[in-house]
Amino acid sequence: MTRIEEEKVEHLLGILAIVSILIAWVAGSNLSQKDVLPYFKKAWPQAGRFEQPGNGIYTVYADKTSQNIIGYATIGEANGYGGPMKVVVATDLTGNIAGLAIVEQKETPSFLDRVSDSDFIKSFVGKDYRDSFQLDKDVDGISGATYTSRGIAEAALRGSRRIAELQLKLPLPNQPPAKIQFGFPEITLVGLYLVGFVGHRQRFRFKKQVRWVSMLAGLIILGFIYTRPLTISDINKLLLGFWPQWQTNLYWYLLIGGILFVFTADNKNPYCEWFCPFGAAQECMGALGGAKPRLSGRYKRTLTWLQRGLAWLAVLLAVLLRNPGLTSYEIFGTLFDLKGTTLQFALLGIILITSLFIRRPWCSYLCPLRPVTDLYRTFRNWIEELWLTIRKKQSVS
Amino acid sequence: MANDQKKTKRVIEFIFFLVLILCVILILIEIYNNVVHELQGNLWMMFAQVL
Repeated sequence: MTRIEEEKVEHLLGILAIVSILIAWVAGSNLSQKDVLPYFKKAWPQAGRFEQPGNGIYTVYADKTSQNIIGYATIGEANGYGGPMKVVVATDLTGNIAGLAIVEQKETPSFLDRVSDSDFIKSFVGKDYRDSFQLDKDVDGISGATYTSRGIAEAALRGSRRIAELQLKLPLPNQPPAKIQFGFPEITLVGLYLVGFVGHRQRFRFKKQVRWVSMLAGLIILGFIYTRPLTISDINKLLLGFWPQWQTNLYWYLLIGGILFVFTADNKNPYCEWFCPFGAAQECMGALGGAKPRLSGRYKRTLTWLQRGLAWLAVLLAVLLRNPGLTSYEIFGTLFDLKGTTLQFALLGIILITSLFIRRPWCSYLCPLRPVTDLYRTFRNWIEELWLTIRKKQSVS
Repeated sequence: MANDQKKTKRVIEFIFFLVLILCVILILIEIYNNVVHELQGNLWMMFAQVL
């Protein structure tokens, strides 16, 4: 097969991948909704029964037969790390929280496990609806699952205030506007984009040295300190429309927006080769072992297509099941937080050892982000060519 | 001598290929486990619903 024929096949498969993901997106809306009543019972196990009068707020009775009302419950909604989450919020008759239970969430399993393994949910019991529910002020956030814990706190706040306002007819406190989160991770990210912008210049003398500084900064700050690398779940969130509140998730917008902007304007990937923390970790291993791009020919082709297949499957299932973090198979958290399943640790061990001999084995043959960036680049170039052809025709005529 | 080196290189390349195939298999198992956990075992029910 010639190179041109290969390119045609690649373009056709790229279009088929997009069409199948669109079909999955539509089909995902047909999946049935969960029965929420068991979650009300989980939130308040001592309650006898829950009855819904019709406004989305359930009345909670002391036992199965009596008319003794002990509180109210509803579903609070907010955005977590992976997308919207629904939480049952039950309050007593004074507006104090009696219990919480997560009904639906789109979190990466390892993040949710951190919350489930802690007493975070229980720490809301007894909180007043007038409290601000701010992390590390009113409630202790869970390290490494900040967005998930913030989402639960926000859902608890909204649910309890809804009951207080609509059912208990209590006055609500003034809600201060959301505070813009612009801290060290955001500053680092902007700094790394700027370093990349300078470093990408063709005639820059210290390109190699600056790239190593950028990679090490990415590895230490975005990897080990904050554990916030780009993952396929970020792409899935973008596709599913689960865009978080910008004031509290500025980092996400800077990461996604920065990459898309540089790619579109300059046709260069500012992230993977310059400050991806996991890429940097592999390159450090490679520097120790003298790694080279060892695979060639059919082995390389087979692995590239398997990588594309994995990325397609990860996006397709996430879109179908409306859960961006579900198929995020990256092992970044396993390395930087030392959290993960046995399989993930096994995979991490294999990758780190292989990195000693092969240059960036994860990035080259397994990472789901590479096929996504390849596809984006293909369509970007195609649109650019089309645009130039149209302009050429216009100038001739 | 040159042939031996070429052969060794090919064997090493094949071993790395197998190692990476093993990684692909581990990733597929990981995705399968997560999806089954999410659907609480009702994998076929989901396909039936979608269809």
